[in-house]
Amino acid sequence: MNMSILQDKHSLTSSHSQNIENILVDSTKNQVSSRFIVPVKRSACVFAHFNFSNLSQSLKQKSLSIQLKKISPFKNFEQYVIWVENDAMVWIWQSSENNLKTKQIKDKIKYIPETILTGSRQKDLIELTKLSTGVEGRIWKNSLLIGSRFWTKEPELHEWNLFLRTHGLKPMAELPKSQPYTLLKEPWYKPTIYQEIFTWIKIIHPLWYISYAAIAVLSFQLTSVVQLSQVNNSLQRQYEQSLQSANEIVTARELAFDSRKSIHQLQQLSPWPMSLKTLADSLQLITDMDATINRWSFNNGELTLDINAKTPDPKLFVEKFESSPFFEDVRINNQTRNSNISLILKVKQKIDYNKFSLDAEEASQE
Amino acid sequence: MSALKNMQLEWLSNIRLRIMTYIILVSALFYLSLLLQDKIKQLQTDNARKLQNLSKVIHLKNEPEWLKRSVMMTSIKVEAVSNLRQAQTQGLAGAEIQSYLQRILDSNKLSRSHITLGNAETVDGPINLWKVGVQIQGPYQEQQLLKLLWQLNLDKKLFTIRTLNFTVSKSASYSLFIDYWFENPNTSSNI
Repeated sequence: MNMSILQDKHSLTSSHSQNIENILVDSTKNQVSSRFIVPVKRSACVFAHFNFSNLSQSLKQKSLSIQLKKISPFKNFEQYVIWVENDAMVWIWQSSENNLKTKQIKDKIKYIPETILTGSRQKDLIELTKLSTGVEGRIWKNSLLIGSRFWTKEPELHEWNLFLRTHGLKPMAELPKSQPYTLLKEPWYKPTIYQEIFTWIKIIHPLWYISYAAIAVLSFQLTSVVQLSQVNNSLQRQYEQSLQSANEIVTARELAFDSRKSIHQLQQLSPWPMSLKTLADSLQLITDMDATINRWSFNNGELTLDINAKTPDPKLFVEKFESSPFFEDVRINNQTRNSNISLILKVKQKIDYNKFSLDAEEASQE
Repeated sequence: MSALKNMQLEWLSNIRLRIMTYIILVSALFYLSLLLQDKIKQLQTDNARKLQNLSKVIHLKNEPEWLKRSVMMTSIKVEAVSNLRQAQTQGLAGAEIQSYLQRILDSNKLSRSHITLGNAETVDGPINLWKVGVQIQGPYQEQQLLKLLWQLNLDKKLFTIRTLNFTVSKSASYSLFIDYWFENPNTSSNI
């Protein structure tokens, strides 16, 4: 491989010009603007084959870059790499960036070495192929181009055998017949979109760990969402079916609860017994105690009574009023003095919610 | 060299680019995971509610007595609503109460008592109502006050005695504050 590169390097030193016009194949020089693929003359290229089977994916690219810098006769160069598993077939040539007239043109075109646009990919073969200018010797092994050498004209037998020996092959008795020159429209090796993606995935391999975790978590969550959605839909269907069959009862129940709400509303508007009843009851109690009323003040359920008693024993009055069905929470007012007794009483509410209670369990679900 | 190759080389050579990309990716995935978790919680709550509704409906199917309960409660409600006064406007409601109370005062010879009519108010609830508040004040005479309360008590329509105050002294007086309830005719269709 190294010898082959040296030979390639040697052939480049003598007459190669730096101008892009001199490295493009003649037939395409005037078609740069219309064609995206532009062949680069084999004579302008250095070819090398590398095997990186001992390196990890992340190091392969880096290692290739270092190797290319080592073998390159150019200060600035462009490259074309074909990756096949752990093998890289590489062509490099003088960078022509400075010679391009506009960036727009640069973006449009894709430079491809002439080698890839002539002949075809072989499995195991040693061949001599005619190019636009000169000929190229190619050594194929396991569908990989492991050796390539350029000559301006058909080599002598000893030159050919030297080329073979640099690749550890036996010399031949005569030169193989050279293949005719045909420029292909597409390269004989073009990675598929899947291979491109796969290459990317290999390069960004640390993302795999994130991806594994994310896929596991998100899959679990997505599965849960799908399952719960299915259960949700199933429950909704069952509910609608059941509701349809129990529609009459459900409506009756809702009506019963609505009616009860209205009844409670009206009950709460007048929660205390008629004042006449409470007044009559109070007067009766006070008369029984041989006392008279000085002041009566009923205010939203709370009654304040000032009583003038001959025997002002507050305990007796409290006990008497507490025994009445109309009052509760009977207390002595702090303002009591002399023969006056002041009481504060709560009038019991007359609402009997139980009278209109529906089933307790159902009411709790209301 | 293609843009794709450039990107590949940039990716491999720039550790900050890689770290930032990982951080962005992890953040995005974490956010997505949180969104899914929220969705799961929402579905679980929804399912629990639907299950509860379903069990309630299934339970109800076996309780035909709700039909009877409904009839009973509706009849009680109709009876309760029939105890509300009727008036077309709040003005008419106030006027009706004014004349009704004046008649009672006159019949009990409580000429020194006077009526103060408050503004009618709308009270929202299951049944929309109007409330007309009235204050009656006058000198305290035990028998006449008891007669007045007796007369008020004869009224079968709904009213609420909020306050009743009287003092037995030289300047004995009484005051009575009553709320009268009217059915709001604009919403009577829901009764």
